[in-house]
Amino acid sequence: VSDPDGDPETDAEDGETAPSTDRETDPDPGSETAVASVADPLHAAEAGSRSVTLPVVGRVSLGVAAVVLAFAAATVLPLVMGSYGVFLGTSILVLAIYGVAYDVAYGYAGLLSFGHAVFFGVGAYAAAFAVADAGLGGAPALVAAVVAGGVAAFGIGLVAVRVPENGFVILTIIAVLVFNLVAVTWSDLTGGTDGFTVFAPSLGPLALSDPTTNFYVTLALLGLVLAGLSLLVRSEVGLVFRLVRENERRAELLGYDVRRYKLAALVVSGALTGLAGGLEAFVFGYVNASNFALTVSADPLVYTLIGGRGTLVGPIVGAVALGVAEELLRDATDAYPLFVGAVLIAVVVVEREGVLGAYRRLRDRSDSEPATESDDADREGGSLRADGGASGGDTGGGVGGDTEVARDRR
Amino acid sequence: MSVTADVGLALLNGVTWGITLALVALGLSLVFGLLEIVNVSHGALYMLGAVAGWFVVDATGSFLLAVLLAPLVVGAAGVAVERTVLRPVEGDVPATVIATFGLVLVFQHLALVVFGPSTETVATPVPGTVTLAGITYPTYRFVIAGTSVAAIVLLYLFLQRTRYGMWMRGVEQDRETASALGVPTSRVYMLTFGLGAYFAALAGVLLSPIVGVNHLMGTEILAIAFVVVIVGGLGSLRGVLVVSVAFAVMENLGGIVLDATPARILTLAVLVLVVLVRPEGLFPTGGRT
Repeated sequence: VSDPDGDPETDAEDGETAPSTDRETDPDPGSETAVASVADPLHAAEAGSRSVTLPVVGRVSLGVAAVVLAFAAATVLPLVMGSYGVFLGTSILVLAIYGVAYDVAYGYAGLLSFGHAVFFGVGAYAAAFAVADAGLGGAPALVAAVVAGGVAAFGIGLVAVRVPENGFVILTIIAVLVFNLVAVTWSDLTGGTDGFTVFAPSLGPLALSDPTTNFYVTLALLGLVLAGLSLLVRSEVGLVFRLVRENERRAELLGYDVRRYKLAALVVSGALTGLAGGLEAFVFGYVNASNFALTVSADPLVYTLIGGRGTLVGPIVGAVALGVAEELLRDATDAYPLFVGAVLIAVVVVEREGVLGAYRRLRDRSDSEPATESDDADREGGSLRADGGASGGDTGGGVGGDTEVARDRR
Repeated sequence: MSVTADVGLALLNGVTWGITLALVALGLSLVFGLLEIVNVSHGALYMLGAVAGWFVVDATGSFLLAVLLAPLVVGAAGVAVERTVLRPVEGDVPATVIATFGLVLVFQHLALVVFGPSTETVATPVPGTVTLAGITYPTYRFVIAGTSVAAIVLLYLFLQRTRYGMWMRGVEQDRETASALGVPTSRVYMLTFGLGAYFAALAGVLLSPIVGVNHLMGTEILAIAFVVVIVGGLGSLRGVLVVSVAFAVMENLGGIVLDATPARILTLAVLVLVVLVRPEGLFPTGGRT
């Protein structure tokens, strides 16, 4: 069946000509051309960043400063919010971890997954069993959640990365529907849709049962995950993830084992998703089979699409925005799923680059007017996946240094 | 009951249910093959068919009318959705997954609003049983299988013998050439998605007296249809037919010794293992679109 990327020849054409001719507003022309034209894209990108060290440092520290400021602002929140506000804030932080974890697979490695509810669900159940049945503390329970998520991702990934491109997403959909069926049916173990109660344990001296403590612990974990992942995505492995996303065939020709990198991205993403699931079990104090619902898989996708994929910070912005929107809509109409559905359709049909992408485009508009792309002529080229220019690189919040290099060099 | 009778009943169940499953999976495969849409909303269209059918039965008391009308209504809705929501993202598989998942949420909410959260039953339109070689079997199951076979044969004739069918096959083989030769691709896309929706809805109406009507139905059959389409070979209609029946027979044979859900899960697992051995599916379509 068809491969929307076409043959490698046309891909090379897309990659090389699009950014230089009609994509002047492309936020990421440097790494794109580097990937396209230099035999060793990884070191080419590195060389680029070395030659213009100063401005990069300026940009990056500005972005880091913004993120640190946001975290600092978040630490004040429990002082000014009521207990419900703290609970809501914690649950949104958990979803933010979920969103960031998802973005590793989707935003960086280009793996559109609907299977993350499986990783989230097994993480939640692993933590719950560790506490409720094995009587373990918070730390081993969260480790169990991470391991469970990673193992589930490995198992599903082992099959899913093997099928031809379009099969990946379908297999992840199948996986989540099957796990849902198992979880609902095997209610002796899972408690079915009613689930069972989990008393939040202590993490060393920190009692997670205290909402404020839980908030700070979750915030710290989000910070850790964000820091760790921003190192990962800027490492050589992270660059290969993006190379795989932009042009699988080229990555293969350069000698990278594409399947192995895809599997690695999925396992990292799944393990951290398991962590989010475990935290969720502690925040809500119960687990149930609806953790395995297809809609749970869609949540981080929505955060990522709204915030901007491949940005790490984007999914956090998306999680906060959606978390607040859900709370407001729940009070008003109970139409949250309808809202999410409409957002999903609007995002892919109208604005594919998310809030950060839209912001970037507006910011760059002063440079030159973007060429309009006709719908029909661009049927093959304007792919969400192969859409290198629009979504390529992590410029969001200045977390990614190398893509900023390109703009400064120009 | 004797072992022979058990196996006979399982085979009969497998074949009748497999043919109806093929009806659902064919629509999914057709839409994927021509439009490059991974249609996550296919299960929701199946649900809409059952819901629309329930309303027709409720209003007129005629199940036959429901079978005739409900799929047409859902098919028309499919045409409208293809033209408005999906046209901009066709060919971009990830975008189609996201957009059609958005449609699932919209359709389910729509059904919740007009139909409500409860599960309604539809009276069996053809009561009675048939005894065949010592096995007593509900007549209505034969009616479902017969209708499904008729629909599949009509689809085959439509694809092979009519101008639109030829256009559809042409677009599937080579979109650009077909377009250059004057095939109205836009109309072909609309018709194809409409046909897919029609088939899903038809299966929904036919199965509603057996499974009941609920605004959340359709996710399980979606998973099975996806497995069938993957294992059969993405875009291969022959593969869909063979694997649908094979799946249903295996599931029912497994059901002799296991409960229904474990049997289903085991069968799905076996088919997913097939994918490990044959990633392209059993009937790969090769590089053909």
